[in-house]
Amino acid sequence: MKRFGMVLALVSSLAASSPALAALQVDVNQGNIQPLPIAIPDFVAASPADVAAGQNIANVVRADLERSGLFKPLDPKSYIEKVTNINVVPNFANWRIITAQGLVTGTAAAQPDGRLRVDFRLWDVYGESQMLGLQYFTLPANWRRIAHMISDAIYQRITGEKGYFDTRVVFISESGPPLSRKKRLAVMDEDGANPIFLTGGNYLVLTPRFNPTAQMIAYMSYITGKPAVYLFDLEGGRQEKLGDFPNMTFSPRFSPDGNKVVMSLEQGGNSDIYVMDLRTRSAKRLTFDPAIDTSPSYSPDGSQITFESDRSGSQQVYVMNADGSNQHRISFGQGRNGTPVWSPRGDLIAFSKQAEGFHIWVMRPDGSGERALSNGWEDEGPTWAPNGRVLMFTRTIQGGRGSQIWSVDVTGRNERRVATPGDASDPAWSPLIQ
Amino acid sequence: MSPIPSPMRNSATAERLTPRFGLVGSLALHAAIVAAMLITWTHRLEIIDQSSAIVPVDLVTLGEKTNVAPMVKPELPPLNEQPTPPPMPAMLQPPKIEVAPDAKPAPKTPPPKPEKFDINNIQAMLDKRMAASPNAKTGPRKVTGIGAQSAITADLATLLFNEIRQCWSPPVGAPNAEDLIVAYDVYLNRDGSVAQTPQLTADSAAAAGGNSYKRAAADAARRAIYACAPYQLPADRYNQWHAFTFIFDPRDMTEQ
Repeated sequence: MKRFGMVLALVSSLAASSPALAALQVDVNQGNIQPLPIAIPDFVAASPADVAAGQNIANVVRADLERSGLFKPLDPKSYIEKVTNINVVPNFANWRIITAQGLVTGTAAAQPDGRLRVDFRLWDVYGESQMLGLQYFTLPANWRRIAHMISDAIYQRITGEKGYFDTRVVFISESGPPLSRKKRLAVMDEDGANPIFLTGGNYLVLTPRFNPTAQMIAYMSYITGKPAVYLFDLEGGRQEKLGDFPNMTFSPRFSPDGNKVVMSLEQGGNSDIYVMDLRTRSAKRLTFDPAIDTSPSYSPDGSQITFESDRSGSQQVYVMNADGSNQHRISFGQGRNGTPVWSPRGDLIAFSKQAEGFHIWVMRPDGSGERALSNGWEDEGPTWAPNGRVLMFTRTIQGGRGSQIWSVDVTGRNERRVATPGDASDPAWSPLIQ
Repeated sequence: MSPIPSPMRNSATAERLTPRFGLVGSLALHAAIVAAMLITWTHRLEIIDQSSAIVPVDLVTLGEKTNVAPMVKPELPPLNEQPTPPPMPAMLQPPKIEVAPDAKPAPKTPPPKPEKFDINNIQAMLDKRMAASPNAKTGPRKVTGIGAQSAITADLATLLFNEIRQCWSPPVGAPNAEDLIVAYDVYLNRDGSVAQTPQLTADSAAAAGGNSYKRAAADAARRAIYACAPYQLPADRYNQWHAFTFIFDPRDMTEQ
């Protein structure tokens, strides 16, 4: 009875407190995750000579945004209005009818000095206002990069997240029969365009990684027969062995400031993690465990390093301070967990989990919130887009039918294959190109 | 001969007894039900309590807004943002709507709904006309009594929720979903179309200026409000839904 009284008191106190609730209020805690319908007509050509550029740029922007899974570029055939002048406010009703919520209008105009000028505006079709307007000058040959920059600008304005379209991916291109597989270092634009082979395939190369300016690649090479970490300068095309270690070095990765490379050094069957300062070329040992410690990756602020170790008896993910102190295990889920990579956003660590198959997972840096992102036959070796929103990884096809590069959104949605020339593995995503 | 009366007596006592047992039993059962209800009640109360933890924040501002705002036409969307294109040739100001006669608003004004003429509807509409002033609207609510009022509008909230959830693509994948809650004051026409640009509540507006994620979340919510119009709501209760607040909360939708 006492309790009943208490409940009654609660009810009446609630009732008394609800005058403020009189106005209608709707708590919307569920939604329908769907890509934003956006219209991107071909960019208006200032002269007949600019028609191709205008079409090409619009094509690349449409493809970029579509690939992200967050936009649905509408079929240009459905457009009612033909944009002829981007400096006039569009007739928004004509775009609402075809369900567009965003509209991108742009122009391409060759300049007397030989450069190409590209302008674009992003419109909020419902709000009937301009959300963004930008202008670029470039050499006509660079039109593709301009298109990616426009995609990045639109992506950032709509999602709040920096874009990742003006980036490159370094990877291992694979060709030839399984027993004499040719593995070449290759680099391409994020959308698969402009693939270039950096090494010839006479020796094995593995685990390439970009530095923060995307000008240099650290990777492991068997060029001398003995595997070691090398640096490849994309500008000059030079490669250089990193440090003069008597034993095998592998699994390199740059620090966020680009001044250091952290990697594994093998000695008598034991691998430990070392960091090498690129300016002084001095190396410092960070782990001293008799187990195999490898696959180090810096946190975006450079203060911590995540790595894998089998010191507990099976391969697991650990975190330590950048000076090697405070080493502690963070993965306690099922299976073996390795190749951790810290998100550029800092909020997550992606890793490969082996438990009923190989899949890409993420967890918070404290080890909580483990969840799966990919669901292939054998998925390994994640790499983050510079915005920490998308990952690429290697997918090995069941039955030894080669390997491919796939990408997936950090939400686990939008899993899709990345275009590569032939088989490919071990992707590493560059930072945004500067 | 005794065998006969004795069973009768017995049965008579049995008859007398059964109702008593029934009474006791039913009392016991009632007590049990009451006890069970107590348990559920406490539970539900906890839930209500939780949701009201969010509510008050926006309520205060809502109260202020509804008292002041109802149907004032805002000057058209301020172009808060043209920072970027420096040497762009004569940029036309978006607010000039020379060509855009509003596909949606066009059919919005009172005429389109006359099909729904039943007595109650007319009554409601007349009531509405009489009470056209914004201040008058708040009057009846207070008179009706609080509990009853929230019960009455609860079904409208459900209707609106079921519509808007189809249109809102929440900002999943962004970090710190708890920072991306935005609330809009929405004003509708009788035909369910959006009467005026939805306004971020004061708290949300302050937060949306914070960073690009918040601004994107606010934009996405506003697009959803437009994309879902016209809203299908009981015409005779327009006075209950002509103005309301949507609180977009992506926390349950994110994987983080």
